[in-house]
Amino acid sequence: MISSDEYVIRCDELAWRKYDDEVVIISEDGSQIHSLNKVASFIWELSDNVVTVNDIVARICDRFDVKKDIAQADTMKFIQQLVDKNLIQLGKHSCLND
Amino acid sequence: MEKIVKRIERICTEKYIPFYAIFELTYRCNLYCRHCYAPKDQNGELSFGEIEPILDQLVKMGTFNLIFTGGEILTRKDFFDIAIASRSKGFFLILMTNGTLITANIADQIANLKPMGVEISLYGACAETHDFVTTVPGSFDCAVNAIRLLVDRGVSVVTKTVLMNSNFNERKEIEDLSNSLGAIPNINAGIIPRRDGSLLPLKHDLSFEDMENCFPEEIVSANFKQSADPAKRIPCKAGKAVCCISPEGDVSPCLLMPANLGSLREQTMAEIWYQQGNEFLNRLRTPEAYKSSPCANCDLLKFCVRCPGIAYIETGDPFEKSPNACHYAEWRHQIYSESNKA
Repeated sequence: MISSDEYVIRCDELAWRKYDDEVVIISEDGSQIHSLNKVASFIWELSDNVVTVNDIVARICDRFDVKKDIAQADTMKFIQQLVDKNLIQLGKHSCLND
Repeated sequence: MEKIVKRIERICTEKYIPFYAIFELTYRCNLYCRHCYAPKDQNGELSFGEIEPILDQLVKMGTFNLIFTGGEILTRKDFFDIAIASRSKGFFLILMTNGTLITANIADQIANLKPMGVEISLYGACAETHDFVTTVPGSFDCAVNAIRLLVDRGVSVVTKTVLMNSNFNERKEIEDLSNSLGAIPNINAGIIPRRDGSLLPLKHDLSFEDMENCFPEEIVSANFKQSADPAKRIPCKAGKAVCCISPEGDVSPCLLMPANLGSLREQTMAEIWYQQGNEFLNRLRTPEAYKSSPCANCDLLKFCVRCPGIAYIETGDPFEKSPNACHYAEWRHQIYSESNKA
């Protein structure tokens, strides 16, 4: 179960590039490729271990003019999908606290 | 996965995003291959300190694939500094090398990079033939040793063979040798002029008779499945999804199209790649330009596998008729006509 105060960080060993609003992620050995839509790409770019899930939700509300409860539900669901695919990790501490 | 890659390639071609960057790290080489197309002049290679910001620029622009070539890339003492920095920035690497400088230690370092592949030149199935082409005794043994060392470490190795009049009758043996070493053979015919326009390498090219002896008819006939639409016939990514950077930092549309678009010592990659008002680049990126080329209405179009880069080297114009392409198209036409008479 994802906690909204957890920090979100992209997994190491993944290469990614941005083409317009689309992020493309490729695994280190090139065997897996993922393509993210506009909102997913926005979340991905924010996932630098400096922001929490809550922070991401707030920024989505600002950027896409969407209500918080909808943004919260969709973001949690999407982050869980990225965790399940080993694309991002969640942590209790930000890298800024190290 | 293939669908996503093809889609990204298409986006990059349409939006001129250099998905592939061919980075010539040096023109220095320890071999002197008879057919070599690369120039030999040295005017001051980019240092590692100059290369690293260029890599960052390529990341921002969307480049995923870096092809390191030369000269011989391992003559650079800082090669692994460059390669490690590239991997840390998420690039996928393909290394092109003659293999002669690959020891066990170097092979370990290459394996640690986890490159997408290493391409090693193999010009013969025996030392006599390979070393004749490279003009350096012992180069065959070193290349074969390099292939073994890398394959043993799990690196994907492709052997690259250009067939010429001195090695074409070993084609099958070269293929067998490559397979036996655990590599993938990539064997092609067709010597190209040197990038400075010199036609000297062409004296090593195959005659029509050599080609007929060398290639089974099914390979020849496969070349006839070409579209008659010139815009589709030349689906070249040069200047669109492909870019090339010389050892001195000059940017060109492709390795085989050395038209200088600008210097990375004076401008950023984005400034060069997206410059307005560069007639050459604009024309290269205009689909209609192909339709008005002399090749558009050629009777041999369906037999022609044309490289705009080679046309540029030969004539100064990527849209002009390429004597090299015409030569091979006439040969295929001849084969096709004879096989249809029978």
